[in-house]
Amino acid sequence: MNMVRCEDLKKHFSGTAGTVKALDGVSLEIGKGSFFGLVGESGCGKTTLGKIILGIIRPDSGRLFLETKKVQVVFQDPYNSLDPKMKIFDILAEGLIIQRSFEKPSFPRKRESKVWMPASAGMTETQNTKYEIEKVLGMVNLPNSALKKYPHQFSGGERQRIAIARAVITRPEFIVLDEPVSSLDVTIQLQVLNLLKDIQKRLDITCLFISHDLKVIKFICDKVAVMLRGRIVETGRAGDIYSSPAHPYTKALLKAAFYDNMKKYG
Amino acid sequence: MREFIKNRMAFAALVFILAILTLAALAPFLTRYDPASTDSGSVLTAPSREHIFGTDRLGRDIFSRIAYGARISLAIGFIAVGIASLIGVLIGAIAGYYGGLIDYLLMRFVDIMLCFPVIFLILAVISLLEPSITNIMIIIGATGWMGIARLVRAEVLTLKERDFVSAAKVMGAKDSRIILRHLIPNAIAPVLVSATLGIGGAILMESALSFLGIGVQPPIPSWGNILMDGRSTLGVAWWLTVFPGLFILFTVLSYNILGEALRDILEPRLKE
Amino acid sequence: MTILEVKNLKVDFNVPGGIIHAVDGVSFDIERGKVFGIVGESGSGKTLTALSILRLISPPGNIAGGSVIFNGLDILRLDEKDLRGIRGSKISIVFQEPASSFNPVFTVGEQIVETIINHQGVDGDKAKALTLEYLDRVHIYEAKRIFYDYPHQLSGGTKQRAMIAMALVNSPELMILDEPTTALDVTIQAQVLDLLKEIIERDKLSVLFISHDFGIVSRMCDRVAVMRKGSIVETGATKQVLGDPRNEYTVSLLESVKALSS
Repeated sequence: MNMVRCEDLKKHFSGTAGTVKALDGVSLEIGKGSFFGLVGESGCGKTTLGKIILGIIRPDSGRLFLETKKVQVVFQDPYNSLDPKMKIFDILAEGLIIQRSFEKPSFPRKRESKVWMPASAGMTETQNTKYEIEKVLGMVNLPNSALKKYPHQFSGGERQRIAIARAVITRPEFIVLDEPVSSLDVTIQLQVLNLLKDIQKRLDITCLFISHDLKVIKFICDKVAVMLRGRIVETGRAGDIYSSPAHPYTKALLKAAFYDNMKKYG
Repeated sequence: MREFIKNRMAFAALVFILAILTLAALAPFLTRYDPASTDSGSVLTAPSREHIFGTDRLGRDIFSRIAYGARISLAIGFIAVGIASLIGVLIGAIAGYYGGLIDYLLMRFVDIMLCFPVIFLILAVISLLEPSITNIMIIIGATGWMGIARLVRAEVLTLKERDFVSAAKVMGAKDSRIILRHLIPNAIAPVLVSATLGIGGAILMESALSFLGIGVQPPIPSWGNILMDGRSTLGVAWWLTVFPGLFILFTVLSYNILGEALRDILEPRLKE
Repeated sequence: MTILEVKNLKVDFNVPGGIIHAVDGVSFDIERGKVFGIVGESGSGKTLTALSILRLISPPGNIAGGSVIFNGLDILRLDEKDLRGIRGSKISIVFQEPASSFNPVFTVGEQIVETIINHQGVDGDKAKALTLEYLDRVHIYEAKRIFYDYPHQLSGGTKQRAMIAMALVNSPELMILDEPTTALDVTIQAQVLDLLKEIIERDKLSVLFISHDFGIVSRMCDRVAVMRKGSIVETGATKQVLGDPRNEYTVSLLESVKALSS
């Protein structure tokens, strides 16, 4: 069962330097429940593909099938992905508020209506919001005291955790993560990756993990697609790609990524 | 060294503005005379112990008129700027966010408005309508929003590309929510600066209108119409011109200094 | 033979909340002909340490103490004229972002020629020939064309190679490399690191190599110092620090790296 299916997606951008073919016929399938990695260097089109799947950009041609409307996103730059003027409580609540505005009829509008959400029977809307926010904050290992603060009071790793909390609070079925750990120090990277692994299993979310970092993708993904200049050059199970890469570009990437052979200091 | 002087000036400006605001707010308690009460016995008297700023043609105490006039002039300044900010923020945010044809049309509208010599536009409108205080506030506000619109549009253009806006879109936020909740609060800094500087401009505009006789109408005092009174008696009664003039000068100057100081605080990237 | 001796270097930052001791008493020596690495996470002070050696710290930061001895002279106490004589010629630096060392308004060739003329006093033609020679040495395959290009016309990898060429052109005794490949794509990183290794070995350069990446440091450096929050927590031969770390911070850092490398 597929969560996402792309058929021959094409997208170009025209600028002063001429036309750039960001996506040159990309076809892809992401199965339900998988942690799918999309890897490639800058300019390969992985971010463009991510944005098209999210609906932020429209493709020029090709088709996109999404099994669900409940999609969320985690971006790369922890210093840009949270509204600097909003408190953490409001940042986390926003998803719930928007979700409820879709589910509620506009008229009549009662002040406090009981919202049906699992494990919240009997709570008012305000109580339910608080409950869900605190629950999700706990999932990412942040204290409740964080709710009153503003983004600039947190470190990069903490902000990414807040971004992850924001993404999961509405219980999405599919999350796109665009280089979520690339801006973080290596020790923090590991923490956040372990957190992601854990959450994905617990909430059974399908994830698309976009990164240029092969090591990170190897650590967390079960399936991988390699992109080069707007095309997918190789796909397969993570284990297979890393042990026996087929495409020469994949081989070059692997060689460069594991350039350090830290293994010998194991 | 420069920093120190700038800070001292900003502090002085702030103190002066607070003093003027206090004067305006507590006018009844700080003045001895009713600004409208005439005294034909002391017409055009020079500053003295009874009338520290002197009296005008009708024997009214100038200091009281300036104090009560402060209420009018400052109120007009604030509200006109408030109106301008409201219009400017909305137009700028909508133009910046939607882009395309909407942006084009709105910005051409801004260009057209900027082409008008504002004074003449205001003169024309005021002569058609009655020069009530409300009308003055509205017309000054309605002709002073263009700069703010451009500033907000510029901020919104960069802001809308930021990840937190994309995240909101992915969450399903409506345009109105994105503009009101995310874009405008983050674009407000240059508006504050512009508005503070604009208060000085609005006060000057009101003074000019009142001086010309089409602003605040007597007997309601405003700094501008006290000046108007003083025009004919400049040779014999300098106090009718000098005192309101000084108040206008220092108030506008203080707001300008305050605006620049705000700019230094809120837009540190320009400092380097 | 020690080429650089850093003793108790301190760099402070004056911020509204007080003073931050970004570099808090850092000492190390660099041997002639060897590559010395400083590795640490963001905020550890490693870049500031590198910048201090050439006194490139600007307000609100300032060098608050210590000494940097190069060829018997304390750089921190030199006057402007002597300092300019060292910067770019005796000690050169390659930054992380090539964009920050190339002026976008001039061509790449013009900028390299200028630094040659400033430090070696040769005429324009000789300088141009030297520039082309070095552009070639860093494996820029169309050196003649790149000479006339503006920085924004070059790819990241080419820009970085050009910057390395500019850093080498005056035959420096010590080269400082501040995360020279971090901003590059992974395959280009590997190429540029190979290039650097080749040049360092061939010219027997003395190098200070700053990085957050243990893997790169393990390939490039003879000795390494681990920095954390402004201080060095461990120094030693690369093999020893990576294979048998003594400090617990180093241990935890290495564990994360290895977990992601397996």
